[in-house]
Amino acid sequence: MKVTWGWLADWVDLPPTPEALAHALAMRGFPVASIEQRITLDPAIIVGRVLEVSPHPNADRLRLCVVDVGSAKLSIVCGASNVAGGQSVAVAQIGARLPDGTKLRKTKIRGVESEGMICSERELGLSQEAEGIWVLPDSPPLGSPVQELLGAGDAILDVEITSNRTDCMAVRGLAREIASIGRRALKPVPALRASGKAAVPRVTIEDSGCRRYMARVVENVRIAASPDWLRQRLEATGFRSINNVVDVTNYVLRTHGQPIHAFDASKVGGKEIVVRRARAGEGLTLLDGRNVALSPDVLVIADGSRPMALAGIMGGLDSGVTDQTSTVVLESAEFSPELTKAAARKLGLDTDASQRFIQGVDPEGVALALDETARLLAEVASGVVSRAVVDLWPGKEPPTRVRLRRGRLIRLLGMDVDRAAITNGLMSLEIRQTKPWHGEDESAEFGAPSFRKDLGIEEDLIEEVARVQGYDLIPSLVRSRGMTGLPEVQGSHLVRHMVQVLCGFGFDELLTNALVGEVPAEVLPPGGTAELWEIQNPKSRELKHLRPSLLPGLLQVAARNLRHGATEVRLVEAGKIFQASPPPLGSERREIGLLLVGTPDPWIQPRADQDRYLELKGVVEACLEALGIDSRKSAPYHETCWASGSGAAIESGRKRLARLGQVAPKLAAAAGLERPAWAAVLDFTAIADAVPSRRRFQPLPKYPAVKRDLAILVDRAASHGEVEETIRRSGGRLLESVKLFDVFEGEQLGSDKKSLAYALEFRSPDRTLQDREVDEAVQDIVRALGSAVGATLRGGVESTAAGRP
Amino acid sequence: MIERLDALEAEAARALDAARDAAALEEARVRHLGRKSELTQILRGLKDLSAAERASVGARANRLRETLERCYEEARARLETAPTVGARDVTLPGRSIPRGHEHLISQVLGEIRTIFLGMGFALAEGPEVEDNRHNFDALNMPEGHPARATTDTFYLGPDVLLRPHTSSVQIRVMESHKPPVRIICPGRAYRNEAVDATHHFEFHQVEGLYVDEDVSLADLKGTLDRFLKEFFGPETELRFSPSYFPFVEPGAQVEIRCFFCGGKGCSVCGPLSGGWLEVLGAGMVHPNVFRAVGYDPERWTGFAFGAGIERLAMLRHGVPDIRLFYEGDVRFLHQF
Repeated sequence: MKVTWGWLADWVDLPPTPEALAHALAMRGFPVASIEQRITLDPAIIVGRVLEVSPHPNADRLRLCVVDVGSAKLSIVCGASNVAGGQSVAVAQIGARLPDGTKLRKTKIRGVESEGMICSERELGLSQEAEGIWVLPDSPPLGSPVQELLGAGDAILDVEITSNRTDCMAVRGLAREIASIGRRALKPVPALRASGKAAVPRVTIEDSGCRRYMARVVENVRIAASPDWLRQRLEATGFRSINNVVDVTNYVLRTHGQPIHAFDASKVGGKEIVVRRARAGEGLTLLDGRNVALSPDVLVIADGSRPMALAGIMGGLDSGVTDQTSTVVLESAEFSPELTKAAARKLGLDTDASQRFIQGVDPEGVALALDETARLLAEVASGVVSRAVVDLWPGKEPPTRVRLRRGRLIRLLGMDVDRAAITNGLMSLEIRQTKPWHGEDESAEFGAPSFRKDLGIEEDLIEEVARVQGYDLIPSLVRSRGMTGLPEVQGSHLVRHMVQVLCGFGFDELLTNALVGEVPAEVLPPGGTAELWEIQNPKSRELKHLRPSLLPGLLQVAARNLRHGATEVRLVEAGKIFQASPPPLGSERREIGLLLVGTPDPWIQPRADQDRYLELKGVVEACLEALGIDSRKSAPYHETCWASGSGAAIESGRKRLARLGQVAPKLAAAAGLERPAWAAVLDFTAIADAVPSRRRFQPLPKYPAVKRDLAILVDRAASHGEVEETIRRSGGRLLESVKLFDVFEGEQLGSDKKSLAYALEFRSPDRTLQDREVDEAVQDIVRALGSAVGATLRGGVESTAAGRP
Repeated sequence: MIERLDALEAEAARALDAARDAAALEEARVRHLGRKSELTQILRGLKDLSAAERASVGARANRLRETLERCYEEARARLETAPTVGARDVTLPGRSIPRGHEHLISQVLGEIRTIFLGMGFALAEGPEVEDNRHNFDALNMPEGHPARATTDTFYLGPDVLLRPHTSSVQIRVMESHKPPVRIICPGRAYRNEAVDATHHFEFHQVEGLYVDEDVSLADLKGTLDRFLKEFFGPETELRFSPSYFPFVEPGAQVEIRCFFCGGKGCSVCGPLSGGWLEVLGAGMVHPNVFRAVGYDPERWTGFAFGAGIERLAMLRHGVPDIRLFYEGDVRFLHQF
């Protein structure tokens, strides 16, 4: 909420500096976001008095003024139409710097020399809208700097008010809180002089949605522009000045938090006001010109025949104040928050007034706000306030009483506060003790003031005591007492471990948004778009779905980085993917996506292939190994996201741990990526299940291994997977390991053949192997390969040096 | 004889200095210091000289030998460290081993977990796609509360939405566990709001909850004091002040003294905040929240807090714009 320093100072003595006020308010729960010291005017801008005004010889619109600034009489050319002899004005002397930075020079205007400038409020940065020169109120001493007239009253504070403290969303409410900090009294409201004899319309309340209704009449109102102080305060806090009557009602709303409506008394038919439900078929033209059709769920203020205003929301055009208005009927009321909210929503209207009534106004404050409005109209619109006043209060409620136990307070705050400190502290906030301390639980009863709608339970009072004591007085306590019994969230530790392993392989972790726009067909879940979560109230087309895959995000980021000049991009993201089934909340799975694209650093050894499929697969396998998942196999696995024939899955047991492949060119292109990209997706849940709970020690081998290298010729279509499985199956129990070390295709082999070379290791746990046993095992393998995959031996079997135990 | 020794010194020193490789140096050594060298001959012949000559020539010859030996050692050291043709260029850069970088948010989350696990908190998680009960109703935000307005929350269905805070996990844990409860819940949250330098529609939070028979505001203060001092450094100054959140009463906000300006006021902390930066919202669990999960508010008390991870990371590392976290620009990722 914005408020000027002077506005607050009307109601309470303020601390000496803005900083002191900001700190005091922050410690009570009202952080001050900013204090804007408004423009500091150049001291060369001074007070002068216009002595003479005469026409400019060469221009119809300009005048020549003689202005007395105390030390001299200046001749100034002025373009404003409102300049007149006898006015006190702000004069910028030659050399003065205006707030917009321009420096005033001696110039000739249409042939006549001007020795300064008579300033408007706009030129001084005080107002955005004022027309003409600024006529200073009263008669300040000639020659004194204009800045002195502004004073600190001009600073604008922006105070953050939490949504529970609606009472402080008005200047006087905030002042009341400030007063309680220093245990000072709120300054009193000036006395209202009501002498008018006009009668107030008869008021009838027909519906319980109107809890209190007050009215007064102000006669002889002269509609005009508002005085400077009023206009400046409204404009400084973000409101446009309209005319004195409208400005006064707005000012009272800002000051007291009470919406006030002014009717033109001559338009109130039958000298009667009825607060009732609208009848079906009734309509109303609102102040803003809109026509609304009414129904019985809307509360209206009607005269004898027709609705004049929507209660608590907006007035009607016909009964509103115009330039011709001379007598106004002022309404100050309390309407039910629920009814106001329902009506405002139904009619699609959201006004300052409706917001206040929805929050709830202070029922006691209704009278004060009415009197203040009348008093201000008498002051700024020379109105005469009627002595008569209507006050109907059918919805009067007793104050909220809350019981407070001292023991409970101590337990919740962790701090001892004695009875007197509690009672006095609450009293400073106008929370009065209604029953004395009594009983074993040391309880007392307190009554909440009518403006504090947020006080309903014991904890609310405890917070008030803590606020008055100061949160900084609460002691600081740490105890370590572990919680047990929760299922271990294995997830976050394991995910972090995997990401760190993958970072070690040169992948950069990134986070992309779960909210995405259109989802490419290639990554739709098996059930298609029906499986997609769709945002019902999207902000934009870019935020429409919850992602079913990490791939599009990774591809987009990679494309962006390549555009920014990166030559190679290696990315990893651990994130959730979403599906709309099963109901009601669908399913969320965590996956880890890897993407590899671009040209590797040329200073890498060994040089990377053009085809980086195996490099990425190696990374995935190494990551699984780092988690202790040693037993895996891979098989072709086609999904639409992979380029044809490149999709593969890595499985362990029956679990599919990871899928990988070259990204389908169409999918990559949709993300703006025109180069080959390789990606892998790791299924976190499956991997977490496959991770062995604990690694078991394996005895180190006591006897040496015997090694054999085996090169075979197979059909080009044969897969390493089949060959390896055949070798393992046929190698007998002495075969310890099988490792591929070369794949060769060449013309000398024939176009339909390829050569695969394997290093085999044989070992026995209890003796040194004989060459003969190993040779027999190799023979078995060669035979099995011949029959299973049609393999022939290429060259002999190489006997390599025996491995050390 | 002395003159001859002087001449020898000049000649031998020049030869040793001039040697450009090990072979040349060895040759020079043999010629000037070897068994057949002139110097050795002179030293051997000393015994044949007169006593007077022996004293002066002997001293001079021995000094010469020491000098030449030192020259030889210097020349050898020089050759050993000198680059030779065909030898290894040790100044070449090591082969490129790409190093990946863990995202700053992951690093910060990991650190926060470690700090709270050390204080006896357990880790809890919950779904990001949630219902109204866990997000609002049970958190004392009944129908009609402003936080429930559709402008703040992404709805996937009438009773399905993206959680706007991690507080929903509090409810899920309390529903399934009896007190004492002592957890933190880190995770993603979503808000339907305009993106700017400090706001994003997706962000991370960490929620904390501690419920037992005698948990007080003092526990909250102590716990957050410890956390913030571990996270921002032991010299961190803290300020607790009242605030309002529907699911706590009393409510509090926690600020730290701005470490950019030391509290003088700057563009980060604002010109007038007195140099205080808001980092956390917190408070004592509202009795209605306890009632919603079947805890007796008379028996149990508890505190809860929530912090924005991005904000903590931005403050500590001086990251000026929240969007950098989600753009995946490697020039950003590589900085941490």
